[in-house]
Amino acid sequence: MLRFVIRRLATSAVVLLAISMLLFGLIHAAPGSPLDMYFDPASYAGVDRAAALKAAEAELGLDQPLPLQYVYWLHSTVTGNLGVSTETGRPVLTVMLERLQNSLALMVPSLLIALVLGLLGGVLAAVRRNRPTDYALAGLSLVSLSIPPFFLGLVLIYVFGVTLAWLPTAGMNEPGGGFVAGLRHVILPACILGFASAAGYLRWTRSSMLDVLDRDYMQTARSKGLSAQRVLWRHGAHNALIPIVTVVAMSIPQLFGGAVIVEQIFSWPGMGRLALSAITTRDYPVLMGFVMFIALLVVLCNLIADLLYAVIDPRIRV
Amino acid sequence: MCLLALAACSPAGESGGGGGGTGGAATGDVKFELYQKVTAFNPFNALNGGDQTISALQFQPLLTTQDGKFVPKLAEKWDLAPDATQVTFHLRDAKWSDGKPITAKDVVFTLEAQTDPKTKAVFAGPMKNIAGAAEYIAGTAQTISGVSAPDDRTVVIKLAKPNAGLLTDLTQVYVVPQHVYGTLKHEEFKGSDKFRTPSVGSGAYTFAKWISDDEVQFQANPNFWAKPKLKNVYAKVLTGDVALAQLQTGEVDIAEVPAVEVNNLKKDGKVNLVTASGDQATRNFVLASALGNGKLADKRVRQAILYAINRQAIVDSVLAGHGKVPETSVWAPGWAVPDDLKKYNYDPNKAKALLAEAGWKADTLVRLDIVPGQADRDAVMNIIAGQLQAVGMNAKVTPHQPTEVSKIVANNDFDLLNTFLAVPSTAEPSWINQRLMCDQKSPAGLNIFGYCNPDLDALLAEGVATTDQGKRKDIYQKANRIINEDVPGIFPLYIPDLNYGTTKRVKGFNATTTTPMVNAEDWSVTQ
Repeated sequence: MLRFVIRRLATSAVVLLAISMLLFGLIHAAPGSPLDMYFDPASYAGVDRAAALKAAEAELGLDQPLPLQYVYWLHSTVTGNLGVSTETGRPVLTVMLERLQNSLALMVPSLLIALVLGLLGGVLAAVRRNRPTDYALAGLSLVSLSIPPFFLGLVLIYVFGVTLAWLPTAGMNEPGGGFVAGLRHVILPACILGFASAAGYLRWTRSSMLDVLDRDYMQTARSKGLSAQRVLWRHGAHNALIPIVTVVAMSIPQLFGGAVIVEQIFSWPGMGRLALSAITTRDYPVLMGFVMFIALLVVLCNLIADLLYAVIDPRIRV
Repeated sequence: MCLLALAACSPAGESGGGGGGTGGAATGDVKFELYQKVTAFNPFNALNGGDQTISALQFQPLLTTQDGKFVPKLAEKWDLAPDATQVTFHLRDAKWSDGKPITAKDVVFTLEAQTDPKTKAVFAGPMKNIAGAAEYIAGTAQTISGVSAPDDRTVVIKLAKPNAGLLTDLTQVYVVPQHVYGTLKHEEFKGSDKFRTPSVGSGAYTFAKWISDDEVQFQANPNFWAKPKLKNVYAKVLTGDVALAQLQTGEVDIAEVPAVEVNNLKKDGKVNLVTASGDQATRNFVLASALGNGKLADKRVRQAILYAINRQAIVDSVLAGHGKVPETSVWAPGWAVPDDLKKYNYDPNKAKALLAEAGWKADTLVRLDIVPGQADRDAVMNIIAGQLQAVGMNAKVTPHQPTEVSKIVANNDFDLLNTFLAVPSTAEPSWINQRLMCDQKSPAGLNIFGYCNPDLDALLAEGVATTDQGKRKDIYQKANRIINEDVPGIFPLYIPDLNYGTTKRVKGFNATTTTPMVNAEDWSVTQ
């Protein structure tokens, strides 16, 4: 197991390095630069714009050749210094950690909702296959997969926030609000993110469960005289969920991506919104920090999925 | 660790020192919307309108304008010399939020920081005109000789050239405490933590903490010279539609309302509307043109463009009638606009005739440059494209990214750029000097249109050099006649009413100030 992990980490490091080079090049290839947002010529009434721009360019290191800029970035990153935002001047690591905390506050409830709805729903749909419950659940999951989250978000805000005024319309918490207010704020965005993922989990679980239900060992368990519940959960679902582990682990980085839209709609101060504004203002250090974070997350989740697989299923040896 | 609890903890942010406890009978909270990202309370390097707004709550200027008149802030009284070369400010007996007195030293410190090129202050241009500023900027002088403090509560500013708009310029200068920021070098201001979490302020409400990095809490300043009527003020960054929804549910108390929503809100009755309109409105939406590339060099072509566009119809449809059509670029103050200006009413035939007279080639591409994304401005540009095409111009809407726009402006390469002129005060017309005078041609100044007219130059120079109201009225009306006739690369489209919506519990909010938050001490709530 240990050798597996070490070998995996080594290849991951190489992959991450390659990704960082590719992304660095791509981000800088996009037209525009952070300097374009400095000293807007239509309103900058300061002293000598051209000189100010040149000084800013030198300060940001943008006048160096691109490979050299990459080397500087790499060197400071491996020592833990992700640089400083070109827009606000704040350290990238600080900004990302703040936003990460807020993003997690949204991800964890959504993941819980997705898991509960998806896994339980999938098991239920498989057990009641081809009966009305199954059709209803399959239909709901299809609808959920088809409706774009931004549309659903706006509709729900309008219905629950504006018309019925049952839930807040946006934001993470009211100023001076406590635990309960925070919970009220997280309901809508977590539901939207959760439903979208739940639909996928439901279908995976359903088909995996159907596969398991037909196996011989299920019949053996029943003939041993075990209760229906025990057969279903300890022998059926336990085995059906093995491939789901991989699906869930891989969907966590995707959750961060999907959250960009939801965060924008609900004005949730998370990493998704940070990335969006970094893109608009060409804030290279923040962008690099964000994409490398996602890349790292994918690599880690991949590794964890494989390890979990080995832990859960004794037949797998790593 | 219960991760669910993360949702309920306040979002990650930082705290700063606030001024003491809240005093007396101050109760209630007001939450207002910021339409742009905020990063720091740095009035020198304010990133955008959002930063300027929060800086205006934390720090105060010497004076500001409201309803077209000057209102004293840190300065109780001022004497502007009749020849506009000198002003004396008498500061009021005021304290910073930490109890130390606000003195002339703070004003001098602020002016020096504003002028020093190392600070890269956004508003340093007007400071160049202070006597002795040139030597200070060049580094041959350690202080600005034209700024002096005869005593703790008096500041005298002498100018190199007369400027009747000096007072208006100074409404943009927010005074910061020298005892807090004096230890920083000027080049360290931008991005400094001391501006991100300021410990000391002079406004009615001062920084308490960053709730998350797009939400700020302010608390009442017990050392403010009047009694703040509220306990806390919160500022949240919100997009337009979210702000509108939250205004109706009461989650936000003050938010800007787009013109098209005004009638709906009036019908609803849940929200009060506070408006600045006509010559109290501070923004004029225009099409800007870089005359340097020669396309629109002929005055008749420019006049034709104005005749070809049905501006009143645009106001009626896109703004639901909440706006005014100006015939000139200097729409305020009212006394500067003569009654006999040429009216560019919608007349496509006249436009065609003028274009024919000027020998306009029908295949010349005229780009309508815009950063897409705002529904009303996108609609306006499409309407204009259609109307220009109808008179035979090859007009095409050309979308740009925000970063691209800075580039095309810097390169003087734009045909009809959708933008707006914003003025700090509707009481003073001399802001136009920076925009239209020959020596202000970009990059030296804000004359991004590349316009140069010696007659207009002479008038504008004269207008800024005297404080005699009768003479000024005469001069600026003459100037406006030239601007109206010449259409100097600025095509005035409409002046939208500036509408703010407030929930019914908020009182005392005024939309005509330089920036709406500068008179926050007037706000109160009924419970």
